[in-house]
Amino acid sequence: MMLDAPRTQDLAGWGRTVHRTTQVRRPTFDTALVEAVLAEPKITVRGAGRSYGDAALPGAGIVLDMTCRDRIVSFDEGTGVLVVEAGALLKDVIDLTLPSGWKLPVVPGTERVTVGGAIASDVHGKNHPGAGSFGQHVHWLALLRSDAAIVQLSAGLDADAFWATVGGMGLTGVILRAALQLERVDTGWVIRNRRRTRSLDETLEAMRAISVRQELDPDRHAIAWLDGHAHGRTLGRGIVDEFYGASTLDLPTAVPPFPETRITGTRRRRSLPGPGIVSRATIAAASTARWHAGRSMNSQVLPLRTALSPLDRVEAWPAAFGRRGLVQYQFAVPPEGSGVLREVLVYLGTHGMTPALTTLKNLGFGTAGPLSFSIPGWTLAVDLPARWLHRLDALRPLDKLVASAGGRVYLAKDSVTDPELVPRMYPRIWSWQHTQQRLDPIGRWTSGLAERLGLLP
Amino acid sequence: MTPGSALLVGGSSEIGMAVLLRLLGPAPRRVVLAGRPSDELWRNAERLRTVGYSVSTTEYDAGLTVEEIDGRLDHLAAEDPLDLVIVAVGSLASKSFAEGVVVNGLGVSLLLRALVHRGTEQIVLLSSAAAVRPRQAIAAYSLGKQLADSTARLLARQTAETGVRVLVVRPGFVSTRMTAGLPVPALSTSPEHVARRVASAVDGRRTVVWVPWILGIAVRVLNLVPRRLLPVDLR
Repeated sequence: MMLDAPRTQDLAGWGRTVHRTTQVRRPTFDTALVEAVLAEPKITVRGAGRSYGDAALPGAGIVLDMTCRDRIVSFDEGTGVLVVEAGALLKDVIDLTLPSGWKLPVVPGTERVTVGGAIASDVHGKNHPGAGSFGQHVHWLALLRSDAAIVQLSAGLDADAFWATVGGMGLTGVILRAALQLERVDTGWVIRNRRRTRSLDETLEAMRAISVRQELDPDRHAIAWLDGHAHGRTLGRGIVDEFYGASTLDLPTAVPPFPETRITGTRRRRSLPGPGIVSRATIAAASTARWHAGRSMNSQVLPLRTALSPLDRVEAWPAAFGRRGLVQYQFAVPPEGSGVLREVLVYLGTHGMTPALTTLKNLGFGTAGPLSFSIPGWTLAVDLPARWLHRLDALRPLDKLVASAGGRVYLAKDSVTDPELVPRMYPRIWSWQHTQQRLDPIGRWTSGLAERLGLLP
Repeated sequence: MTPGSALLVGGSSEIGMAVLLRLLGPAPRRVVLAGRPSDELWRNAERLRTVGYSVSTTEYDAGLTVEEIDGRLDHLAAEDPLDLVIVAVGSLASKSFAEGVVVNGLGVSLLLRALVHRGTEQIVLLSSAAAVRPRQAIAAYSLGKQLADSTARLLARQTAETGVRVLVVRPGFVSTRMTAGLPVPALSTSPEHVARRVASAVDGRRTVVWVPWILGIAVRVLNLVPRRLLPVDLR
């Protein structure tokens, strides 16, 4: 049982802005897990540590690292139902299932999140208008409550607890296992149509046109990269990519239907010393070069995994931002709030905070999860060097803009939001708090995020 | 004998909750609230939990197929049988005529048949006066309710000799969230009044109950009058 003994570890969020030295337990067996849960008054549940901020870092107490519980329990190739332990990475699931013609219906920008983390953050992909978010493809999940009871939750039974756990940021209990519904695919390839746009209006128009197609096809993905350095009339110019699944007929005869895509780069890169290589000059140069190099082009065939998980090809991305790390500010606004996108880009530009990476996606219908991020409309994500946010409240005006447009920030990525605006952004939080309190009356679950934003009742 | 589970289909309905609370009996007892995920559904679940009932919620959609309804009921009755079911499904604000008929009528009829076949001891259908007196302004709602009402009465006749009892409740205008903002007509009533009438109708083993009782007579009289002689909102 040596493996289950607590160890002291230095942990950070994916953005590396927040660090904590804390006691970490990695209980491999159910008995050890239950023991650990009953022994510790305050616990933060952690998966692969891909939340940018402090969602998987402790405010107080210990951290339960779930990555050692990563077994694929069963996979039915007839129905596409997969039962998997929550610590398994999406990558492991895809490695196993894609060669037999099944894929996860929703994959975020990285495959290196755990299944439990994907449920707890109710992650979305680039196909949200048609496919919804991750939680909508979960048949059931097994949850270890703070009283050590294991309960099975689904939308069919105890739906309020189920939807409080989906998107519940790991604050309702420990997700142990889940049954996921996978989706059939003909090939492991996608066809990409690319369009270069010259202004924000043009980008939005292109994305709107794609969203109509996305609503009809759950397998149609779209993302717009915006040139964060552009301003004036070119503000919001970018490259709009639309992907859809390739059939065997779309592929040249010599190409196998399922490519051997192994996304490399598993080693954690140390942060570069000092400010890193990301600076205003490098951002300006890289953004301009990317926009000029990205010509409009149709019908390019790409491996599905390469297209959907760009973050996995740039494992060293956070390291490039230097010791202070990066803040990703991602928010969603309703369709009529597209003006907020322009205001945010203008605000960042005029305050000298040119984003190193700016991406825009369409969102479709929301979910029943009171803390789930997705609402119909737009979501914009900007990566900013943390060293530029001299004050913690540097982005507060943006919080106000977003909240007053009926939008919200993405809790899984947050490290800077104004706590007072959270109830406005998530108006059903009271409902989530009721259920959270029912599942955890003694207040065992916690996290840096929960304490900072006052999420818990 | 320990009672089985109670199920309220349309778990966010105010009238449904009032009737459920009146018929439930003392806690502890297992209760399932079924409906579309909503704050009201979850608020109602919390309300019941705080007074000691063991409550589960479940997603339920009026567009479910027969197989899906059976599957869902199997799931709900896995631990102990459902012996009281209140069907309070209804919407005045459907997106289309077809959806209005399906939500208020077809979906409910299929559910009632499934419940009767499972031998549910007491089924209460919240129908409407509009089932007997359809109105142009709420045509889809009226036709849906008519279908559900007729199905329930047929099933009540069919199961008269068995242990299954079906009660059809026909309230008129009930002041709730759904009717908030609408002009309140004569003979309007409240969810609590509906619940009281339902409780006494269950005790009296009746098949149809009007709320208020005078509404039954009023509707029958109204049906004798040519429509063109009536004010527009009563046609």
